Amino acid sequence: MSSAQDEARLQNARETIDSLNDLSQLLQTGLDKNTLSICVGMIEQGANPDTLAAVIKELRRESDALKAQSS
Amino acid sequence: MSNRPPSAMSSSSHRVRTSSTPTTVRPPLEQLVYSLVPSLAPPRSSNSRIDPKSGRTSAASSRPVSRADDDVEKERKERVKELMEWCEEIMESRLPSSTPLSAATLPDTAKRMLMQSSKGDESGSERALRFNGIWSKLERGRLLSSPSPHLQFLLSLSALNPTNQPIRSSAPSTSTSAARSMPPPPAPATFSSTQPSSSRQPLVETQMQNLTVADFSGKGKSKADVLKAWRTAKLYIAQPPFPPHLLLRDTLYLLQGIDGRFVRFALAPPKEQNPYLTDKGKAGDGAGFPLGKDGAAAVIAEGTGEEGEVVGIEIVADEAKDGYISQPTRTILMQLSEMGMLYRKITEFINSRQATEGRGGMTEQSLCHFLHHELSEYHRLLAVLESQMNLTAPTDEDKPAEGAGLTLMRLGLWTEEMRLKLRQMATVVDEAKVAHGGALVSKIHSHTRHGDPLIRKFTDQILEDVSKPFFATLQRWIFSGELHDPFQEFFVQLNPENSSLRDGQASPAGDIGFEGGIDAAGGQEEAHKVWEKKYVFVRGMVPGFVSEDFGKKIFSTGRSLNFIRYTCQDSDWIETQAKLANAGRALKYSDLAGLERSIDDAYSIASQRLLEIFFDKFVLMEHLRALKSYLMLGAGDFTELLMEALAPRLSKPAISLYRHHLTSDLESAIRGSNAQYDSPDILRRLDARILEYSHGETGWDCFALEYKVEAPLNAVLDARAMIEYDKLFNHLWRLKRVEVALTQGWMRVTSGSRLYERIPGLNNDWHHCRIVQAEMVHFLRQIQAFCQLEVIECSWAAFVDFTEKREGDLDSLISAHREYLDRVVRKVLLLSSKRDKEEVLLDAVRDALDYILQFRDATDDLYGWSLAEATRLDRDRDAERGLYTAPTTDSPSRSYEQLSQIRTRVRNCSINFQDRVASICHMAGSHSDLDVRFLAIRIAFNGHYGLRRKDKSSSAGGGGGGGSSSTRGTRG
Repeated sequence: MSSAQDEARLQNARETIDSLNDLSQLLQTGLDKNTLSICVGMIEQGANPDTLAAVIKELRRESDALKAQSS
Repeated sequence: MSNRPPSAMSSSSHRVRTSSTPTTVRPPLEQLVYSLVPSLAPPRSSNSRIDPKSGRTSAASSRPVSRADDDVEKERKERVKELMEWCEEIMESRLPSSTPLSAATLPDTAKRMLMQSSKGDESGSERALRFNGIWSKLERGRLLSSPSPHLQFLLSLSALNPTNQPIRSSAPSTSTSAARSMPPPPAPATFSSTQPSSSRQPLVETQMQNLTVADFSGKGKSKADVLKAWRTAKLYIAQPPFPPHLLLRDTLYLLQGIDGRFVRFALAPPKEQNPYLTDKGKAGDGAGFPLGKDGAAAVIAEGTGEEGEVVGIEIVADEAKDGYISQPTRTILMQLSEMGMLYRKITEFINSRQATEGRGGMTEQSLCHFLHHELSEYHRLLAVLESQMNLTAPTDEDKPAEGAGLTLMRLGLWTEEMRLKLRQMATVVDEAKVAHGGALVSKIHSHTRHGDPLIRKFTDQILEDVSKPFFATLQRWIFSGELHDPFQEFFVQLNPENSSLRDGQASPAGDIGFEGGIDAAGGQEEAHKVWEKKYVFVRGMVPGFVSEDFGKKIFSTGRSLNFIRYTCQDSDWIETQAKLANAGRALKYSDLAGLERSIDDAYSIASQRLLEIFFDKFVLMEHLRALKSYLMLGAGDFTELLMEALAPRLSKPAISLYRHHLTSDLESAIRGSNAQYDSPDILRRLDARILEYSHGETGWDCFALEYKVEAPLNAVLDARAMIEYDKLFNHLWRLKRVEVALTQGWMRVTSGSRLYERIPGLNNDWHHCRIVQAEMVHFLRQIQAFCQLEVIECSWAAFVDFTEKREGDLDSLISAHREYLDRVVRKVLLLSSKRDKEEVLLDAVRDALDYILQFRDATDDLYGWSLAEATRLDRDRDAERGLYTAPTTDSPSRSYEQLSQIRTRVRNCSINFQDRVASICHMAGSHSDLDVRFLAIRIAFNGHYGLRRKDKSSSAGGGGGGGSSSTRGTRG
């Protein structure tokens, strides 16, 4: 019983993430699915979406910088 | 709701766990770091799934060799830790969230963004549709607590977000350059320190982007920034600002109405090249501009006509060399220069008035004085300002004026009050150009209702000064009755028509004609004219603070005093009175209540005094009583005697009348009657007069009794009133004469009846005569009683009632007397209210009176004939008895012819008379005046004339037929 319920919930979560992913692609955010799911989790836990977006931008910049450094 | 996030979290973490390492469950932030910065991911977990391309991780994947990689690993961990700390700091930073707005508008914002981005193979609308589908699915799905934060998150990262675009492009470049310069990124380096200010820089920027995503503020820059940018873009920013102390000095010049070195007044150029109407592009080359919007309009509107009118200022400074004068500074200069312009205007006014010394009038002179005083205040202010400026000047080079000293703004502020005052003065000056005297005062007074208390107070000050000459004139006028007004500024002025009345000397009245009496009035100046016409009341000059009624009162007061002084020759009283009044108080504007009080006092004193003079000194009432008893025939004994004495003379043709006979008869009538006890002053005035006569008139027609009045009595008994009295006398005298004639006729008929009773065939005639005579006596009695009792005595009683109260001024006395006289004339002469028909009734009465006289003649003739017939019969009888009788010349047949003629005359007269009386009754019965209607009732008290009229209208000539039949009967 619990496994079936779990399964349904998992399915549901996957669908939600997929929808969000679609949305993300539609909006051209450039986030991959993994990152998106992490972010969704964080927002669901109550993180401020604005600040989270700021963090992601920062991290991207950092990553770009590192890439440039390494290249 | 609270249990759901963990479930989602668990799912994601579960996925991570299943996909990557099962060993360590990292916090989501760390995962995020690893997932976004794959180069920093731990080598163990460097799955190909995360970032297979990264060279670093692939290198790091050869784990066994990594003995020397420990350092790298350590450094990596260090970096990760730093990054984590930074990210946490960002997360914890309390940025203002845009959520309040988001929940409702986020989907719309997203849709709008999608619609606008037509990039890619699909159009914006299609993508928006797809978004709608996904969004509704998310909203329906129960897993997420709320999809809005997610959408917000996605939106702020979206590449479609217009604000993300430039930042994306610029941010990496700066960061790369920074990263290139030093291996550890600058931002993390500063984070460890406790100064987050510089590290926050990008954060704030992004926050601003986020805000704009939510359409919080249109542009990212504040207005001040925009202005700054605009100024930067302007050409002359390179130039330094114009030295303010120079401008200040110029401004002080401007305030004095003098052209400055760099700024000067712009004069109105000829119309066709007026640059102030069009905007000249280059402000630098000295294009002036009008004063404020209102000021410009007004100045241009009225000043375009004349050359040299100040319309504004122009700046002649060489801005390229000395610096740039900014627009706000120009505006301030312009506003300040308004004062200079006003100053010029006022000084011009003062100068022009001083140049034409003596013609401006006292009000204007005092206005100039006041303006002068105010301008010296202004000069004082300017001096203070200048000293302030001198204080400022030395320090001005080093530092811009701080606490003390003068700036343009301060100048504007400090002169604010003075500017208002100057404006007000300029307004007054404008008004003074068109108005003058009292009109000017009232114009200024209209400003006292201004809403601004400062202006109101200032206007009061102006008025206080300006009204001084007015009050000086007023004081002389109401306390001594003198008009001292050399410039015609007072609202009482000498009548320009007859300045000859000025001294008020009225010559004793000459002959006042009755019918054509006006001809004599040309040469005489009577007190009435002095009173009425000497001064005129000029309504336009009444100052605003004096109401019109009040002005009339003032006018009357001064007039009374003037009249007392000049016409009544009682100047001593005036002098003492004026002294008393002057000692008491001085009139001034600020004490309007006191002014009213003192004017009321002066008014009542002057009018009382004037009435006293009239009633006590000149015994006006005695004169009026004399007029009533002599001219209106109130004194019966006197009238009787006069009539008796004059009757033989007046029956003769007018040409044989001599005035001295008449006056001697008058004298004897006075001596013989109670009139002798009247005061000689009154009797002296009584005089008999012969009016102008034409051929064939008898003395009755042209005799008139006259009562002479002179100044100041003829203020009340003016020429018009005397004419009315004459008319009254004429009518009443006629009535009296007819009455006397009738009485004498009756006496003769009655006393002589014994003589002719024996004559056969005459009884009917005499009977008829007696009947008609009685009718006439009745008619005359009624008329006379009506005149004397109903009209004259009643009106007199009303008039006496009024005079005993002694209220009002001479005007009210005059009007009361006029009313009395009008009433008497209207009723005695039976004037109707209708135009053109006023005298219809009077004419009828006169006709009736004429018929009475004719009838009397006829009866006289009848009497004479009866006597003759009686003597003839006696003679015949004597002859029969054999006595000697003188031979008779006339034959009986001829005498009967005479009789029939006389009979016809008598009959005609009586019929005509009765017709007249009937019509009089009819007309008087429908008269508008109730008393006259009552007279009609009295005359026809038994309806006799009404019946007669009916008879006559039913059978024309019925009465005449009856009369003739009766005479025929007598003859038979």
